[in-house]
Amino acid sequence: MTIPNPEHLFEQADKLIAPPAAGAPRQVDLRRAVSSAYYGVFHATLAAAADLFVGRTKRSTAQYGLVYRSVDHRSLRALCIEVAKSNLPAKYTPYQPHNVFRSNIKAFAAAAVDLQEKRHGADYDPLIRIKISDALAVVSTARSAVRRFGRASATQRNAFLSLLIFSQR
Amino acid sequence: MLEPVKIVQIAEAVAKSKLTAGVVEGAQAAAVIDSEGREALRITIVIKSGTAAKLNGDAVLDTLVQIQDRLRAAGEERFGIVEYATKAELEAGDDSES
Repeated sequence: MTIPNPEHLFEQADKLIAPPAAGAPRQVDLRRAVSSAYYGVFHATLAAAADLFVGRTKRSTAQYGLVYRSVDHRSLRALCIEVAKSNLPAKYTPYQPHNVFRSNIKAFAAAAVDLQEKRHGADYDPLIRIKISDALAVVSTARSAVRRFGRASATQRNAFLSLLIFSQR
Repeated sequence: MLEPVKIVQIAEAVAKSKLTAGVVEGAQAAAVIDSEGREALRITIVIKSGTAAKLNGDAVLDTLVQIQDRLRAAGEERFGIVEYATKAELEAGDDSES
């Protein structure tokens, strides 16, 4: 199993944004850069979840792949929209560590939603034009989001990942 | 639902407080439909030419978080998508293809 390295996706985005010898970067390159930045965050999240629930030492097992593939964009977005708000819906509150998700997880969640929205536009909307300034900000935001997730306490990260993997009844 | 002028005030104030001094020239806001068909806001932070590569990622993310928090606190329920552009990028004409 080859797990996409988030930093490699961010570096790919950097290369796509870098101006060519003449003229500005192509729109298709800026679109791919935005998409790669989001996917860096997405894959970092999936690996964190599978590392937690299956184990980092079992990355080559089918079980690891099963957990890794169990998260889709929609479920990540749905959870992140709620976590980014000040108050979680009642269905999530029993699972919040110390009754609150703190700033690092909230920042990660806000970034994930924002980046996913931009990725959707970059991949599918022919009417938008990606600005170089925004592509640069997107990659910076994505790197920061992964750092902020890593800076959160294990309790905070594990609570978030539990809500991501397991649905509430 | 806040008036566009109020949204711009909040976005500009947050961006000026979080990003490097002198980088932010203004802000714009427009109502859009998001990828799931819901009403949303596209907030554009207008920055000085040549400053985008120097933006600090944590500061950019903190700007996003605080704009969204302050909009929610002011009663705005639409999700704010925050973008960055220079004046020149905003004024540039669109090509028909890449």
